[in-house]
Amino acid sequence: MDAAATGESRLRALFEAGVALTSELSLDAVLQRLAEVAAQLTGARYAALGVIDETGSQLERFLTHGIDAETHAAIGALPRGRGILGALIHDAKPLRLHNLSEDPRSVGFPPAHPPMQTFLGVPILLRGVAYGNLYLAEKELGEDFTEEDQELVTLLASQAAVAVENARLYEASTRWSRQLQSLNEIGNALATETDLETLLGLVVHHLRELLGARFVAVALPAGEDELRIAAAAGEGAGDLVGVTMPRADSKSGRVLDRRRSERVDSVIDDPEVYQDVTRRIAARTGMWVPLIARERVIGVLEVHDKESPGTARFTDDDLRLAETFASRAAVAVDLSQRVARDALRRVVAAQELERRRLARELHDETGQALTSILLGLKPLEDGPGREAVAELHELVVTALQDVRRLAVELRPKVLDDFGLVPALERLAESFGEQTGLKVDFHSAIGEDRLPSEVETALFRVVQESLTNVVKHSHANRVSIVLTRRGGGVAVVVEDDGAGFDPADSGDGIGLLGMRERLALLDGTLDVESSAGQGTTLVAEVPWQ
Amino acid sequence: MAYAVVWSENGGRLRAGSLELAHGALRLGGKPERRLAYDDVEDVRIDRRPKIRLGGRPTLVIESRGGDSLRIASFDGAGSLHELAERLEAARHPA
Repeated sequence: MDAAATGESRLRALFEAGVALTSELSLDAVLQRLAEVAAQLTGARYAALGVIDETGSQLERFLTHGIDAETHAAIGALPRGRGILGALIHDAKPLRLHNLSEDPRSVGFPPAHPPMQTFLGVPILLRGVAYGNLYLAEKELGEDFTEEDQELVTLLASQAAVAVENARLYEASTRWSRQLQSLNEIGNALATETDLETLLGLVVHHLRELLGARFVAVALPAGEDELRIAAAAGEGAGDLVGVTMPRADSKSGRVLDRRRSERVDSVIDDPEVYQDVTRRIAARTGMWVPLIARERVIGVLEVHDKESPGTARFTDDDLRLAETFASRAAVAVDLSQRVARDALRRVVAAQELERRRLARELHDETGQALTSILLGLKPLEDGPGREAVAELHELVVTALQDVRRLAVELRPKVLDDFGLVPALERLAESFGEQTGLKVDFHSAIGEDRLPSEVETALFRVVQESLTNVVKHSHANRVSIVLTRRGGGVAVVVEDDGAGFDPADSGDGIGLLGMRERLALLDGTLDVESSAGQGTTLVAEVPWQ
Repeated sequence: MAYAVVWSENGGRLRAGSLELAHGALRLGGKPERRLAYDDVEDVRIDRRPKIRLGGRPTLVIESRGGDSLRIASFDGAGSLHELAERLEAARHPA
């Protein structure tokens, strides 16, 4: 066969290979076929294809043709891209060599590697960026690879680039489709769960599974300045649930404030990452994704370490998937929180209604009956058996006092009839009388009545605070100040007692209950205290 | 569990603090603290008489074997004084 016929035959083979490659949808199959075709076209005994990793500095995959499984096993680990292979990675241009070992860039072969002399390397470029390289060695009859071989393989590589791109797009769309299906299934599962704790557990569990991550947690705001890990899944999860972190000095807090997700390839090098948490789970990489529902940021998903061979880094696709998941999870969490708030609101309202009814019954019925008995005893006070009547009189008086006190404790009528200011005045007065503490009350909100639910909530907070003063503070003085603050109303309860460390109090002093009650009105509770320095509690509710 | 209480010993000054039923003794927190072992308790009763009340509230009266008398009124809401009395009895006479 003459040279022209040989050339035509090789071009035909190239054309057919191109058609075959572009019709293949499996990326692995495309790459393997590419190596085989390149070997056939050039008469090379060995062919290999290296895929460059995300960093562009080394190989992440290496497929071969012409080396049997036994030899493969004997060689051991696949090359990562040093020596001649590395030269092609760093300089994406064709390279032909007469003898590999004589090139100064060569680092030699590992033991059991078959001897190779002649070499042709050609880059595979996708839209101008090096995707990988084709390596050919040992042209038949010991000849060098020719200029024509180089041109053919370069043409093959350009055709292969299209096939690789198609296969990658196909695989990406298939993977995305599978993930969307999973997301849909997860979304349905989340939508049916309204218990917040269970729901958060499902969120972290499903996201970890979806991303193939080593650790996932969800952090929710805890007060103004902190975030609390409410649920976690993966290694070390149990120890981290309940852990708090500063909002201003943690990646979770920053992501919450910026309302924008972030991917970090090295958590130890990022100064925003709260290392107290990441160190405990030995995290290397991370993603932080805000949970946003109805324009409100309600928490942050924190994900660490991809469980994939060779790298713990997450990809842009992982981040996109986490964001899609987060948008669905946020809706479910928001719904669950609203359900919980509505339930609490109904319980609180029912409790107050029941207290009001009982107080009224005691005051109007039992109290009136006892008063009638007192009136009935009056004519008997100077008659025979006056001592027995006097004893009865005393019993009825104390019973009447008890009934009135109980009615006031259940729900003071003055709160409904005259409002918060007179109710707090009387509470402060009676509290001082009964405990021997010096209690000051001052109101700076004028004569206006507040909404009933605001008055009730603030009254209950003061009641609970005063009980705490008795129980814990050993104080001598208590001050209660009712004032306007910003667009709301605030009550400040301050004592000169023993104080405590708010971080160590847990819920032993009922702060959680007060916070939940105020949160129903979008209110807040702040506690300032330290050992020996007394305690200041500020309950604030927006109004008007 | 601790109760918010006011208390007075042998008719002395009214004190505010907490009452805790600890292991082996009841502990009144406040200034000063007072501890009374259950074994030293002679008698426990609820007294509603006006002169025995504290701040107008009925009291739990605890007489010690040494002759001291503690009067305790609860601020923890309706029914808490009876609950306290029952728990104190249970602590004194464990099953």
